[in-house]
Amino acid sequence: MNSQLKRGIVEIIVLKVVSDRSQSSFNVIETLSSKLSVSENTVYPILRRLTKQGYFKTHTVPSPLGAPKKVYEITALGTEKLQMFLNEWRLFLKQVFDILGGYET
Amino acid sequence: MKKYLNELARRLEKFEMTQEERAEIIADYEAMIDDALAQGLSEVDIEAKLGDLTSLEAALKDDYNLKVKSSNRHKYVALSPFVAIIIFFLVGFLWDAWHPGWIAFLLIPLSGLLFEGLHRGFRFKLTAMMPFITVIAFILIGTILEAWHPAWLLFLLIPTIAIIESGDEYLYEKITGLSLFFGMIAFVLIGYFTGVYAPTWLLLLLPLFLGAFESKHEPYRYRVLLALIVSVGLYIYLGLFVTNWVLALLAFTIYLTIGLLYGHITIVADYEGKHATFLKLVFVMTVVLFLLVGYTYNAYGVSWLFLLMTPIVAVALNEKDRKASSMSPFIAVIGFVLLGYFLNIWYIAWLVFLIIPMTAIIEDR
Repeated sequence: MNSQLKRGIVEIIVLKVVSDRSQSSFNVIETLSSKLSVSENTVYPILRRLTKQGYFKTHTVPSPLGAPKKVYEITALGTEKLQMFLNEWRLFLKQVFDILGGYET
Repeated sequence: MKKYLNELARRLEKFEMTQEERAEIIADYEAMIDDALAQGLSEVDIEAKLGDLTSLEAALKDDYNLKVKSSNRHKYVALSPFVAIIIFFLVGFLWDAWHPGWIAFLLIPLSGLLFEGLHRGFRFKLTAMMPFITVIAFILIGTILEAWHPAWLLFLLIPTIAIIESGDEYLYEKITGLSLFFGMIAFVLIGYFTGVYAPTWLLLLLPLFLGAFESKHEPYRYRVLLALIVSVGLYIYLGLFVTNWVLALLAFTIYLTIGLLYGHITIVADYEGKHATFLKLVFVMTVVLFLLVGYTYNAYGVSWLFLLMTPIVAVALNEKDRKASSMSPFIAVIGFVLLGYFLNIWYIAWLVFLIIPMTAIIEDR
């Protein structure tokens, strides 16, 4: 798949995963890599960018095994953005399937 | 994992970001590694999970600019047009030497090659600079001493330097190749200063003698050497005692006959394998044209331009990146000499050389 397109889609997925549950970047990649072929080096810059854009906020939680963990949590702006992305994504998929045929929503 | 983190730090240095941001990214990666270790992953598994740092670098390019490397060498190259203009006007106004003062403009491409060459390894770039150096020397000698012929011999230094710089392998083959150019230079210089061209043209046969020793096949080697020695000996004998050097050339029918019979002499147009055979053929043809046109019309002063076909064809076939820049010195020399020789407008013909810096600027990336 075109890497630019893939990165855009992974961005929506990262928003969704963090909105489901606040978690560390390692846990995000654990969740994603069980279903998608992505590495931390693809996901981390996305987490960082979304944080900079105000869609995530971070806080640290103590870890019994080492340095405190940085946990990503979705913000109200992030939730709004995710909803917008999801609406666009569903509409886009519908249009694609209308043309190419396939999955009926 | 220390190695991975060090490599990460090294790659982050390429980006325009604050030290805090850099430290934060490294700390995030340390935390991720801690997380992974806590879950019992091995270092190999963690590296696989984190992925190749090249992909991180590619992703960071969306958010951060790469640092633009600035160095003094770029400054010097950028200054070279101004320096060239100053030299051109100073030489022009002070000594009324607009020509050849214009060659100051050749400093522009030359400085680019020189500073880039010093940065990457001077030895390699000397070959690239040779066309410019030889053009400058050719114009200076031609203008000051009015010796365009044999100053053109300087152009033979271009392939000579290229052969010398082409690596330390095949030393003997290199000496054979060089003998072609040394023979040519010696032949023309002796002819120019003494008016004697025969039997000194035998110097052009040096590569044939040396080439024979390259063969490991003894019967072949002795046959070629014997045929050559007999032909040359008979040629000198006929030239000296019959005093007809043209008639004496018949002596070489011995070498040619043996060569054709035993297959020493073959003409193969080989466009593969770096075009070596084809280039040799071009060289031989241009030497024939040089001598034929020079002798028939007594026009050695212009017929030597045929010899420039070899480097032009070599550049056309082998050069990939800077084809026009590499060819422009030769094209300019041809234009300059043709305009000067046939229209006698040397005083303005030098403008043709401006195509060299112009081509270099257009082709610069």
